[in-house]
Amino acid sequence: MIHVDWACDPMVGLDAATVLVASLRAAGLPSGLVATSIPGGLSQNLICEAARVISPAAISGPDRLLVLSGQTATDTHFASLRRLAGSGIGGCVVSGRFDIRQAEIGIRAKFGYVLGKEPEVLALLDEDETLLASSIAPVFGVDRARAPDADGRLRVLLIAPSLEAGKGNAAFQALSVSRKLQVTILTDGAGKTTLRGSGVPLPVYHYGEVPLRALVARTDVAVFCQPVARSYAMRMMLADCALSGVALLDASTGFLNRKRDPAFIPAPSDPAALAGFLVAEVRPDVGDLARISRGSALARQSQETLAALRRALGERLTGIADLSADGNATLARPRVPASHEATAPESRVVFMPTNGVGLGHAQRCALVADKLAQGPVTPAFAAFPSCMRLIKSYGFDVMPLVPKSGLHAEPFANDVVNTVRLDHLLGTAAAFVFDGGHVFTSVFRNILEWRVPSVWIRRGLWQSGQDNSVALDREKAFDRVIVPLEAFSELNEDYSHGAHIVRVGPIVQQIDLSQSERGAIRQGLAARYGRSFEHLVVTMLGGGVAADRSAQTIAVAASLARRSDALHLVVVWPTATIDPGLYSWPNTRVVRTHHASVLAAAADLYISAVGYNSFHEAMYNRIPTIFVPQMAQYMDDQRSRAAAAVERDLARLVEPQDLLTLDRTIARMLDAGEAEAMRSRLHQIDLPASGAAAAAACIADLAKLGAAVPTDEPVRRIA
Amino acid sequence: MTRRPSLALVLDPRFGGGTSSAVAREILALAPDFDLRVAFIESGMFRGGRAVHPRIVDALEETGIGAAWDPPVIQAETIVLHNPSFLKFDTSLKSRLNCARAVVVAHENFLKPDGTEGFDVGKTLAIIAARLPPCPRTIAPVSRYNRRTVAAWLSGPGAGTEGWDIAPVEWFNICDFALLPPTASPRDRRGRVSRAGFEKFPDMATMLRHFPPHADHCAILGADTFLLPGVKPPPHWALVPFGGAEVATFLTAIDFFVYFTHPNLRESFGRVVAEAIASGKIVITDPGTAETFGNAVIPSDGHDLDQIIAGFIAAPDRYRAFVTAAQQGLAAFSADAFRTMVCRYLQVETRVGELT
Repeated sequence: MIHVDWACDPMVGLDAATVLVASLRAAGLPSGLVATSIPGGLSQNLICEAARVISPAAISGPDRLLVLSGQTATDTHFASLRRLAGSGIGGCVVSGRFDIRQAEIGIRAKFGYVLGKEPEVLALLDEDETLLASSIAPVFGVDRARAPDADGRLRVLLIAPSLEAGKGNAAFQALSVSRKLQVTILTDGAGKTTLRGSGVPLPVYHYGEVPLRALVARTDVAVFCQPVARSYAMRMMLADCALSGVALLDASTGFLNRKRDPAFIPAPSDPAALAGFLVAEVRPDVGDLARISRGSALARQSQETLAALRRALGERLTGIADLSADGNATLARPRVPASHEATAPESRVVFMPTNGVGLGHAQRCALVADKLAQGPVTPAFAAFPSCMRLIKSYGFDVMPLVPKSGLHAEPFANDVVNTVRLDHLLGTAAAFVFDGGHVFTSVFRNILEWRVPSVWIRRGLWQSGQDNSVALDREKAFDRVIVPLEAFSELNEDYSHGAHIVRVGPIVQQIDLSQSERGAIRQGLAARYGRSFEHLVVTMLGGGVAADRSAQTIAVAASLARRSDALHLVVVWPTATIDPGLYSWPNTRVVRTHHASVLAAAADLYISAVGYNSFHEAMYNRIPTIFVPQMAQYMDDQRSRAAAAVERDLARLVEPQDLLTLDRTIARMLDAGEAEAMRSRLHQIDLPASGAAAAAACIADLAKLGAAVPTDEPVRRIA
Repeated sequence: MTRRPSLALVLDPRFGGGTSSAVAREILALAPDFDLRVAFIESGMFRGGRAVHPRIVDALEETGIGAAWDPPVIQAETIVLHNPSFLKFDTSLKSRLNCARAVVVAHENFLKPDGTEGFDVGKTLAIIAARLPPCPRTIAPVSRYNRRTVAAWLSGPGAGTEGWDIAPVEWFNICDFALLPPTASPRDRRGRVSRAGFEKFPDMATMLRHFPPHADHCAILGADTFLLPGVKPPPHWALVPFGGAEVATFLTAIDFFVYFTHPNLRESFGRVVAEAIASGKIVITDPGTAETFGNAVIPSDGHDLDQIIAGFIAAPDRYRAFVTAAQQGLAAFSADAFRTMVCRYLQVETRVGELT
């Protein structure tokens, strides 16, 4: 195991060390960051990246220590190294820039005094001497095994183009609509803001947003619009490009990169001219350009640097080679459980539903996964605790994720842990499916890092005025976006465009109860609660995070308490918090269950929030319903959804504050025959076909796992 | 009246340790016999101005000798350049050296115990040689151990072609400290003094063995590396940073001076050892460092300290006898002995008494 530490500025060093460790692992050298050297106050991007590559264990035995920027080591750092080395290490390599021999002698001696043995010193080249140099760490590349674009487009990474407001927008607009080019822009934070503000629909990343190596894997041509920056990450990316056969174009003013290294091909700096140049001059010869890159002096130098690092680490001597023996050690992390390995991880599709107000995301994923499981696919889940029982009830394995908590030191602390957990799952996944409105950083980075075929199930009907720009910006990481449509067409709206958008019918759990099954359920409830009833009313108003629905629920309970012919079930998820006062109402019982759909299907009247799942289950399972919308700022537009059904006379809508209206509406529904009339109308309408099978087929196709088995059969449940 | 031969002492006077103290004593010792000049070099080794070591300032005041920083020419029949390692970060020497004979006093070991260079010796000697006329040039070691490292370096592949030879004498440190009587009732009170620096200390396990909890007192002067943030030294250690106490005062609190460095560092002379002896302490140190002082110190591999110390505590008379004999042995490093050595080596007639 190679433990990587750094002596320079903690932030700068960590930034470089994370890049280095990831590349060492990719090069087959098990390695990790020294955890105690990671400073506090990191950005979410940086800490998520660091968390993935922290050394899994303390330094010991034959381990190696690799210290970056050794020339900047201070006594404080030496003191920490003395603690770190403890009872001894297998060896130490110090990389650094030493202007004079004495500097190297001095550093070698100091490290020797602290660690007990003198280190190998890896003297770094001057950053001005070569483009593959850094004063912090050795610069080398790894072949990122680029796969060709499925659509035959030339994938162009435009690095640091001039993005002054208003300038060049037309040219970038032209690039965005090219069918022969797929252009991605890499720039700084201000540049990204400018470009996104211009409305140009090009995917754009800022430098710290994702590991640059992840972009190399998706690039055929890298166009450097400025002199190659001195940052370690950028220089490592350049080395990756050379090793990976990415064509290197120099569009800098005066061709400054070309002057420093002949591996660069001169290119126009004007984006308008660049588009034509890429199509006419580069695209036809991109194969030759890839060979030029791979055979360049840059590529050779990169390989020599890595070889020198391997020699310095003495990997053939002891320790490191041992860890490589099992073929999985490059990741330097716990092995996948044996039971999972036995189920051919290459066929595993990982689902991750977010935890919304209810369990709609988890329910939807489970429905799609269930379809996939009928084919040659093994679904597995990463899910928050509130969703786990529901998912397990379908028979799927679940890796728990950590939800947000006010007790965490940082608001994103949970997502750091989730980054690591997803990292462990996605390395062997055939595909990854995320269902949620906000694409977490953990999701975004892991998709790009692992290049796993990825799908975003993105439900629509966002409220007007909602700012979903961050979520939409991260759409660029996904290969497909599956949009489960609303049952009523006026509710469907496009938030983004492209061939990657796949629209499917509403994904909804259909409960096909026969009259006898419905009767049996109702009899069972009567027996369970020791009372007969004529009307079964099920209330499921949600609540929790979004809003307190106690008043509305109690209003329903009070309304039904006056009757002798009704059983009122307040159905909540098992994890919900219940107002104790509910238990005192006659005729009302509280049911904690994941099987709300079955109870609702057996009801005479359903009083529900208007989430996507609740609404569509009411429609598809033909349940007379009074909708009480929840309209938290971050939620979908429940009122519009309910209104669409009301306009068709397929439901009633009561605003949360209209408690008296709620009472009267319940009475009309139960006593004036409105509910049964509504049920008849519900049975008469045509609804779009369920989209679960289509979604499953899309995922299976993307993962190249063969067609799933589409079926309209009701889904199975094991609990 | 015979003319006094001229001799120029050249050094960077900002060394914080033994070099400056040794040169300060040399100024006082050599002034009677030589037309003594002193030149300071502002090397790249030290930053932060031209603060001269206070003992050198005192010596110059006492002798009335002036000193100049980086004079264009340093001229004397003999130029003695102390501790060439101060030039290890430089590429040249500003002052031209105009002399008939040059002596470079090594001060630091040219090689470490593992055989690697202690500093960039070749470069520093080349810098000096580039400013010398074609004259005899010798390297004077400060001890027998130091001699061996110089000789090994001169016979190695790194040696240049500037014609350096090794002097037949040891240009030792003058150790004429005031002698204090040993205690009549020694206890297990251990301590050590050194510059701060990781090289001055063995690893933590060894340090714990040398300064164990069962000792009555454990005190370390120069313990800066144990006082750094995040370090958790044993609570029974009394730690004082370098410069945090007068050495003489610090030594009054101990009876046994336990001095071991990192195994890959060897003291070239061990001036602090002599200071401890003069203060009436029994010194226990590694055999290499002990070599300079002969029977005046107790050589040890560091594993038998408890037995050695317990033996002396049980026999106070033996303690006193050992210290007294050791202090007598320091006469070999007196100012007179030094002056005698220098005059004989430079073939100069001394004006102060007879050569001893």
